Amino acid sequence: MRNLGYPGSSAPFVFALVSAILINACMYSFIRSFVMGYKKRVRYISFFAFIPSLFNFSVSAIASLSNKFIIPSFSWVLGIPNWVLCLSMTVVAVALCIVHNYIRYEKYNLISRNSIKEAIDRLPMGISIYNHSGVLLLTNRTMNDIAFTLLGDEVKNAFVFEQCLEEKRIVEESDTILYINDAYWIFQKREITLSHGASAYEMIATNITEEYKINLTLREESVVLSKYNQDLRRYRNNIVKVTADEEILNAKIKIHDELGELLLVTKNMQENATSAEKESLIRSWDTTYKQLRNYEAQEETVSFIDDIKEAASSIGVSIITYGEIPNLPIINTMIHECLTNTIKHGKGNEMTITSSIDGRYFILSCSNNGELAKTYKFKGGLKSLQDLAEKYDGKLEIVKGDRFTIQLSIPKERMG
Amino acid sequence: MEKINVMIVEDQAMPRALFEMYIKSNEKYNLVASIDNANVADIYCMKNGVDLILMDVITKGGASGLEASEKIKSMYPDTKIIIVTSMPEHSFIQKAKDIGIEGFWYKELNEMAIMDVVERVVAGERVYPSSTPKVQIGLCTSDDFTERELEVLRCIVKGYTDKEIASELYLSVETIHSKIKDLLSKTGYKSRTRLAVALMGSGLIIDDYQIK
Repeated sequence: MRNLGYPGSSAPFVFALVSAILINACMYSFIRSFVMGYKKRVRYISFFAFIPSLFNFSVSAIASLSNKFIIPSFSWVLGIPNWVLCLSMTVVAVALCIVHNYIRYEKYNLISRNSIKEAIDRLPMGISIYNHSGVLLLTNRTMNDIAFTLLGDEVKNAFVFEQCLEEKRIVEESDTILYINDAYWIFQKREITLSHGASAYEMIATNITEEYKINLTLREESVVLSKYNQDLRRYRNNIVKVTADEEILNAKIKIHDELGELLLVTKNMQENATSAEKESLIRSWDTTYKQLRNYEAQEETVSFIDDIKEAASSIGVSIITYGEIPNLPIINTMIHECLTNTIKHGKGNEMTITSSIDGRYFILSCSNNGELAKTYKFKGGLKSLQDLAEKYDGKLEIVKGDRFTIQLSIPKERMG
Repeated sequence: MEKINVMIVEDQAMPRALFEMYIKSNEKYNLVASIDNANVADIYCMKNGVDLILMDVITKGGASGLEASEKIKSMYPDTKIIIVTSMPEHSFIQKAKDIGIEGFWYKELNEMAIMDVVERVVAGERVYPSSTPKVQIGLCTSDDFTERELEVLRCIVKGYTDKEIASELYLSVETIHSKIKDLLSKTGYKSRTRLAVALMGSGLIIDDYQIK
């Protein structure tokens, strides 16, 4: 018998044991790779790890039992001891098993097609991916459930499904929103590029019931608030008038009280009054009567131009107008400013205001018969007026001539 | 003795007639103008030598008596002005003081007769009421609000959001939330809108929108 060359009597037993374990592991992996549908390389590695494990087991087991090496020793061919060869093969088998398991465990970090499908089916949203012909590439359970409710069947053709969505959507909404099985769903479609470069459509259906209900509530409240706002605006417009009316009422009450007092005094004085007292009483009646008449007879001026004409007249300046003078803040400010200039700088006593239309512009000219200065600068009130004109997209300019004239041009559409 | 030239600026005919009567019945005074639009008040001052003006706060067309007073004071600093109003808007008094107006009279308060105020202002005094008229705002009165609360109320009347109020007053949004909550609790109103309506109705806050 050849020398087995194993270092010690227990070595064959150890090799046999290890080999037996490896054989089991390889067989398990090999069978599992078929069942789980692993890639072929996993099966090949299992197989290649199985062969040397089997050989090693056979040789080591027999050697440990009979202390004989009945299979021709490769060591004779390779020039290495048997035990080295067995050890090497064990190491190789172990390495292959490790690699195999590494690859297998690596797969736990990757997901299989089935896992992807399972995960997509569990999503709360509906997903459909289809090509430009409407043929489905992928659809999940949620989308199929929706299609079943709408069409009575699963999604077979995406374009038919799209048509159905269009017909059954909530018309008032700009997005495609449908009310399905007591829930609100929004459908969004977009074009995507697949991994191999082809383009396809992706339709996502999302349950927006909570948000939509809140939106509806907000819209209703908005309508109510808008009404409140309108009421408040109307109230604001009236409040000044209401307060003024209150003032008038209070004044009337005062006059009423004075009239009452006068009546009482008159009654008391009828018998015992002196002539002086009677005269005073008559004057009081006269005053009260005039006061009441004044109130009745007073004519209210209706526009700023009338007010400023009256004001100018009181200080000896006459204002002559040609054309219609609109009652706008910028117009009123300009007339006021020109009148101030007429008096303060020009020392004039006549001001002419002319309005006209020149194409798309409204033109207002103010001139006076005051002294002409050599130079004019836009400063103070004129500068403010110029800035105001620019806000109206208009312009203010001084027109040279035999009278000092300021001209304002405003686009007609800015007149309001 | 030279008469004191008085101008009345009041848009309501009845109160204007009353003031005219008071002035005309006193030999010390000469009524030079009685107008209803504060925007032309300065024009009347130009040649009429006006010594004293009784100026309403909001006149015809929303013209502001305070703005007109400011303009007149800049042109004619010696002209004395007495603001007359029935609106308890709390900022009017301070604005009047800032402009340098000599007198302020509330029509409804009856703390002092208008002619007494006129006499004292002509004599060189500055006559201001001791307080603004107290108005009821829900469960509390106008006296119960602090200065800061009045600023917040003004922003509410303007229709600002909490964020805008915080930005306007340089406070945090949380502080504004808290202040508004306190104000609603103080006044007993359930919403800002109702509070705004009550504020405007009482005249405690006059929005600049109404003063042109």
